[in-house]
Amino acid sequence: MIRKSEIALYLLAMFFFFNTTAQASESARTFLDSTQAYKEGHFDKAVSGFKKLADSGIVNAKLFYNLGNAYLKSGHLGFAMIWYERALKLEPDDPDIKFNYGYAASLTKDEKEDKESPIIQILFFWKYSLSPDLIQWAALSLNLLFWLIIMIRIGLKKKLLTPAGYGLLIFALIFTLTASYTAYQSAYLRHAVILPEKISVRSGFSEDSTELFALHAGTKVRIEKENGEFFRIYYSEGKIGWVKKSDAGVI
Amino acid sequence: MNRLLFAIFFALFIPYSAEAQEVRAFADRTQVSLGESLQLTVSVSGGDGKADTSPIRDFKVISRGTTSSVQIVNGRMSREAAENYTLIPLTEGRLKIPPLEVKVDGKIFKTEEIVIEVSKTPQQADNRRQYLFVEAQVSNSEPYEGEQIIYTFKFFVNVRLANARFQKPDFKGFTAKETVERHEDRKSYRTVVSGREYNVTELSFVLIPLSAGEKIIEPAVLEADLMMSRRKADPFFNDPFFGGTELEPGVFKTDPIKINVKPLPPYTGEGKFSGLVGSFDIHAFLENAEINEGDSATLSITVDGTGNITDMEEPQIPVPDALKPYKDAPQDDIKIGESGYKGQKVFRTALVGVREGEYHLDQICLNYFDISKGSYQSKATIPLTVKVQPAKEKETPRIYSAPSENGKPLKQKVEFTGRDILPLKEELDALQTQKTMTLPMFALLFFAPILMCLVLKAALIFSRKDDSPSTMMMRRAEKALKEASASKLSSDEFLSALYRALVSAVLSKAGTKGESLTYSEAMNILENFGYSEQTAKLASELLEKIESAKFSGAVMNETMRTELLSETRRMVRSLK
Repeated sequence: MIRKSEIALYLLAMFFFFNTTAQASESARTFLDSTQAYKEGHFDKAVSGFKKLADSGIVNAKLFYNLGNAYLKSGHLGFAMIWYERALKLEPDDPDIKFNYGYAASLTKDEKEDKESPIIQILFFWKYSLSPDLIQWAALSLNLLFWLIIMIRIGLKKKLLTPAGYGLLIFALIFTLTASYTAYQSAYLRHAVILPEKISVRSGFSEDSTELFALHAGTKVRIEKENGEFFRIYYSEGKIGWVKKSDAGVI
Repeated sequence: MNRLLFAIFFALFIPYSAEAQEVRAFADRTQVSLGESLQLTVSVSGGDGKADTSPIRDFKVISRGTTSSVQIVNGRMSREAAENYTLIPLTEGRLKIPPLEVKVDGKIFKTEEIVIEVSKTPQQADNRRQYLFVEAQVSNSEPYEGEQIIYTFKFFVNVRLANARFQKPDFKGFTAKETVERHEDRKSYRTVVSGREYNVTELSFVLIPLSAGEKIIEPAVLEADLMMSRRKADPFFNDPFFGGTELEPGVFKTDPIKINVKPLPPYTGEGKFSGLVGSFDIHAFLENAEINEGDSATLSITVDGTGNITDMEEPQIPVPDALKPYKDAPQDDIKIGESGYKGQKVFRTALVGVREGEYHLDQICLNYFDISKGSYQSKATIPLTVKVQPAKEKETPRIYSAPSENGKPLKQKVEFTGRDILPLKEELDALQTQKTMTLPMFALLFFAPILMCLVLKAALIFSRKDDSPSTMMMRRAEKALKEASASKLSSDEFLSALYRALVSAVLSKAGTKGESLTYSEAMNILENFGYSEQTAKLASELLEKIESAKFSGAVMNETMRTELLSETRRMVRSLK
């Protein structure tokens, strides 16, 4: 005879199953509607749909890329840049994201002053072309292989696979350091994108502080600290100041 | 080198003091007159910090940089950093420098309030005016929103100056740009004012109001040291060569200027208002009016004039479906001068013929606000026609042939002919969250193989302890007893096994390896390792018995074998 508690458990499981399925189909419908709206040129509607999905907690480079496209087509360069940046953070080697990001970046008005050396990008190419996840898994796999060799040597008491061990150690170190640096960057080095068409960067965190310089939509800055409703941002060597939090979208 | 060693010595052997962090603010004087300045210093000892001067409202604040000093007292080193500011009072009366917040190593300190008495302009300032004075003016104090005006700052001087520093106003509510790029290009001339001749230098800025309403341009400030002749100097030494001049510091500021920015009247015309305010014109030019299918003709739209032309956005160009447009990046040639921004912006579009036929391009309208007329104006390009002819390929089939070795390469660089973004990603996996590994999980997975390796190593070390000589010999004794139990052994083999079992058991007590023992050695070993004399003697006698039987060559029957085996087994077990 089936007990009441078992029936209740069954009903609860069914509720969660149908609830999850309904949420999934709702998301899919919103996604397809937004895609269709984009194709028909209703970019604001597409923005609204994709944004709703992103706000629901979906973290996906393709969704962020679509949101960037919709914002760019609707004339919001700052918002487009921030979503492309978020997409690139997840998939730095995706050619579509890189292309559209480059196009949007060409529309920004502020000239980039602190340019990253191309030599650095060539020397540390894997950091710029592999996703953080891939780098982490590469570091873990190489580390595991290295220690397996060590364990075989200890178990058999024979000096086996020495060149392979050294090779694995070097690559494991490179990828582990890269993964650690990437984790440090995402934890401590925060960046933001200017959202309005034009903002004033001020000497203090109040509206009537002196304007030091102006920045335009889409410009990427580094957040150094925050105070109340203001961020202190770094644009380039010697160009720092305070902006309202609502004017800068954190990547 | 010696300096470096000295520095290293100090860094290593003179400890930093553990003094408490302290923040102070002080002014070089507390009584000033309008038009004069005072120096404010915010000093931080025992840490690093920067003062927030935004609460200072009654003074114009000009940063003068930071100085730092190191003191060594009784072998202890302390450091003090001072931020220097020049403050210029904006009004007369009893003004306050409020407490300033300074964040030092995460802790917030506040300075004491400082009261400054500001009196009216003294006689001295009036006297200085005959040597230097400043003026500011605007070309139009009632401009329209978006209309450019010229702000001109002039300073008149008839003495030599040193350490001149100019602080331009904030121009809050305007975009501002100086009309010249280099300081040397600033306008300079001589003029006579009230019977005195002055050198005049002009600094001009183009201002464009961002919104309508009343706006105030704050005073511009010139700080300079005037090189004045000494009043009571000896005539002989009253010569610049002998230092017959003295520096008299002065701060000169203009009056604030009120600007009443008028809003643009509501736009009721056809089409979209371009946002341009000034005087403009628009032209269209088609590079090639007749093209073949697949070829392109470049359409250039040029907007030129005077005003906020920098804000000109790309005009909408309606193109028939039979022509596919590819836009190029706009080019501009805009100059800034005494009359403001002036120049042109060119928007080029490549039109590629898709279908043959004759197509008319609609006029492109530019709607702008004309300042001189005070109304909206509309200008349009001339109508243009593009004739697309069938592709040549249809008429004359193309003949392909291998390039000759001597000929030039046929390849050419691929250029973008249009600019746009790539389309959406329509796969539904865009709705799956990409999970990223957390740092603790990464650390766990990273250290897991290392931990496994350590466990393996520990297990091996632990198991190696079991391989001690005692254990090995006792194991050998057990093994020999098992061999002796087998029924198919000859007498000699049986006795050898028993001998080996007993010797191994005795040697295991000594913790050494070996194959043979004499009776006395066996007895000594057992006595030395704590066994009773009786046990030692029994073991010795049993060993002798086995050896005797072995070397005598006697054939052992089953009963003898069983007894000797039992006796040896008991002895071995008693020695365990």
